[in-house]
Amino acid sequence: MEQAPSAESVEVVHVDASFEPLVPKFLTNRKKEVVTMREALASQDFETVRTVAHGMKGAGGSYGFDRVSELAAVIEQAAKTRDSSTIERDLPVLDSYLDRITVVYD
Amino acid sequence: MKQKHKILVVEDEADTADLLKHVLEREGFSVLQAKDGRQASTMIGTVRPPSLVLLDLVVPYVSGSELLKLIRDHPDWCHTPVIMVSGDSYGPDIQQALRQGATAYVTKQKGSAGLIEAMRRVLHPPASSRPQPVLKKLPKATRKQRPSARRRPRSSHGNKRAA
Repeated sequence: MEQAPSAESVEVVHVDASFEPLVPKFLTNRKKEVVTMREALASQDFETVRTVAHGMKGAGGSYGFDRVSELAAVIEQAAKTRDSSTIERDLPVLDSYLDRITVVYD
Repeated sequence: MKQKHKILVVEDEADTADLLKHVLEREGFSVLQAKDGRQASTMIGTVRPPSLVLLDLVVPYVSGSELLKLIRDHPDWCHTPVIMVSGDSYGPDIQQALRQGATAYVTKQKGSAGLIEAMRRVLHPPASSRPQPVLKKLPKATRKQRPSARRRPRSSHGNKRAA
């Protein structure tokens, strides 16, 4: 049974307050991309995984979500070498991380 | 009235493009966008050159490297400063971009603050890097308001740096 995230597992990310109107869409799109990559992995479509992860790596860095960028970089690198076990391991980590993000605008 | 610098942003990732537009407009720039290499290459042949180009290295149809070559080969655009923007910080890619004529290279991991800092350095280079240090005697506040782009040397893209 899935547990609700505990207070300890919440990931606080500080973001420039002026980005507030853009961040919800940014996070929604990253969640969609996790689904896209999962489906692509299921069909061994590593090129799609690589392309999506590359875009997420850059977007994460631009918005200040450094952990998103780091995880996407690992997935992108794994896709380049068709390393499905690393992608299978890190996609759920990324998915879970996105679920636990609490944004603080300052 | 001071004219806004026009910035061409070539970026295919929609959220990143939205963020760049938001940040640049907040900083007082006017923004022109191309969502892929094909759109950007069409602009290079048909519109007046902007004050600066922010060029994503990896864009569909025509790559950032190819676009950079188009810009450098175009008679009207050839002196336009180009900042390559990439999610990658692979040394040889950076060196190659600078060799091909990029004015600067900024990684997206530096965030928008790093990018704005690089843009300000390119658009308003320190007096010491200008060929004629005529602004040295002006008070700082006045110097900041000068339209420095007009004083940029023709080979402004030669002042290269990786951020």
